[in-house]
Amino acid sequence: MTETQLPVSWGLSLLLAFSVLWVALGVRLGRRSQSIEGFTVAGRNVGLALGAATAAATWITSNTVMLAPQFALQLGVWGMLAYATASFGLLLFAPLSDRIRKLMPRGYTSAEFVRLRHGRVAHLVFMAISLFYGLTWLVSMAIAGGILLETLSGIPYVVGMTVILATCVIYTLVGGMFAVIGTDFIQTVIILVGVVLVGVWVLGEAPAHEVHAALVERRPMLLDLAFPAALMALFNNLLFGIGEIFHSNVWWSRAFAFREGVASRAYMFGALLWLPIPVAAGFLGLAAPALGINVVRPDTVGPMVAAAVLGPAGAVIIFIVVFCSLASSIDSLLAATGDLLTHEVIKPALDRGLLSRFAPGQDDEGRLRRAASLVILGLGLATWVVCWPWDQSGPGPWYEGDPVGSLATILFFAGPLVASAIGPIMTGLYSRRGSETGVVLALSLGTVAGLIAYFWLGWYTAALVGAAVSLTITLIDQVSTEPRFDWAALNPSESPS
Amino acid sequence: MWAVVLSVGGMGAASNDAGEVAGEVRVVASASAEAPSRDGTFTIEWAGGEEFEVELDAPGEPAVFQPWYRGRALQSFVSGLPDGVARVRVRARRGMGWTEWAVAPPVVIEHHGMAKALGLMGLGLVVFLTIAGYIATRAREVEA
Repeated sequence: MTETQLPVSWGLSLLLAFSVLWVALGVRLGRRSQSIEGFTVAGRNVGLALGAATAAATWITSNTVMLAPQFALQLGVWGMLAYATASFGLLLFAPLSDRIRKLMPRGYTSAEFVRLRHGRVAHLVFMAISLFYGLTWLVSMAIAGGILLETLSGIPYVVGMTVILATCVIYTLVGGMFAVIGTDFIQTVIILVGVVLVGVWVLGEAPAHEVHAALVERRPMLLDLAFPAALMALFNNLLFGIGEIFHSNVWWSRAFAFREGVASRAYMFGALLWLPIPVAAGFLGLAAPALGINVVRPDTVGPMVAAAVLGPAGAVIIFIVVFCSLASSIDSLLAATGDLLTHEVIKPALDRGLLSRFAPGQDDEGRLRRAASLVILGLGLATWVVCWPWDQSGPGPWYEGDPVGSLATILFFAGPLVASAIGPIMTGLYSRRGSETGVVLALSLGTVAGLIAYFWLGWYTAALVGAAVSLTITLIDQVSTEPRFDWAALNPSESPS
Repeated sequence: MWAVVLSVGGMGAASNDAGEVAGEVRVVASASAEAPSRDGTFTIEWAGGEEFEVELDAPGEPAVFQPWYRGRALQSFVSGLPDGVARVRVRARRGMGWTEWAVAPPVVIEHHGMAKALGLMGLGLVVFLTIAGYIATRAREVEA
């Protein structure tokens, strides 16, 4: 490992300061989250500015800060562009979000849509995919956060990972969706300013012609337009991004939370705000060879370059950007995955009287609100347990004895799962055709085909193959069934509150 | 004697007496002739000395080792190499002495074929256009 750029005391001070800031903001912003409606969908009254900011901030994850430079270092200029194509997910979700808001004005989760639109078996398969993806994303970010803070400042992995996770759990627990969206706004501003500042700064230290010369000499394929793996990755990443957004309750819960008429514009502005981030971050990956930096792990190249070139001041900025991007995504995942479990698992159990002894002194809404808090706490604890370095040889179980496993190979394992949901979600929202069997086949065969591609061709093909197989099955199902679905079924009169 | 242990892709180890200072250096690379790199990347890991010099003979150039890294790190990620065979050699310093170069078994880089790459890229384009076209058309219909 390289030497850290920040003294541990600086790192701990920053960690403490921002943890206190987020928790204080969460408490303040979350005063209106006493009801389940306020806690999970922020009263369904979020405006355009907060909406666009939360869309951009949630999409700027630690994965953006770490994976965009990794894509550039591993797949070259094509890789950098491939990462930027993830903005298409937000752009294409814009019209869908208006449709969601219109069809399900009292909706809470993406899984609820699948249950009402496609049936219970499809719902089970979809829940398995959603929870696997949500937990993979959550755990990968907690691990990434711990590694990054250790790389930048020498804060022990366990301390960094624990503090980040605990901070997000506390303010999400207290403030619910109000706190998540409110902190996202501030985090977006900090991230945008920080990343652009670092990008321009590194460009000054490593001018484009020097970067180009170093790549030609030492890593020529990174500039080659006929780089096979990079060509494969281009649409793979685009479809992975679309799949992530279309299926994930992180994005659906925001569509439910936005004021009517705001959702599509918020997602479009969010996409435009997000677009320059992976390009600026990706440049750090391309600059590494020109700067003579030995890259130890490809997924830490961005922060390593920034910290090495810019010294302590750059390391402070990167530290803050990383903390903001981690917090903006972890809180969203905690809230959205918590909603999924609360509304799709706990609520049916409460309705059937299976949890009659739970919070006996409260009414249904109070019990659900309390259950939502406990679920978020449980998710945080479960994530912390998985991220704990049980084997003592490295952070988290995924890194055990694996010198080449990286964030990309871990995260893109979920690619075919989420990409296989694209077809069923989009046709389900616009077409009255389709069968439950078709949806189940599309989700399961798309996933299987994508996973085969993952191992046979490479991680940079899995989502593409999964999406292609799933979409083909979905379209065949569409043309072979009658338009029988009644849209009113998506808006049942009863609501939890 | 130095025993420089080189292994590639987890396929086993070969040893090579190469120096005069007691100790052992271990080097591991993540691609080989049996498991070639398909995207021009591989990771080299080494251990056993205080400081190391790593040199790389990249494919597509005259067979000359070029300096790749010198320092105390124990790992390096290599990317962006074209088709061919790359060779890596490592030497380590302990006390005042350096070992002789230990050459790792060749790292083979064999990129995916262009037909496969363009085929998958084309498939991706078709899938994307289908999704975008479907949403644009249906969203307009719903609005109308």
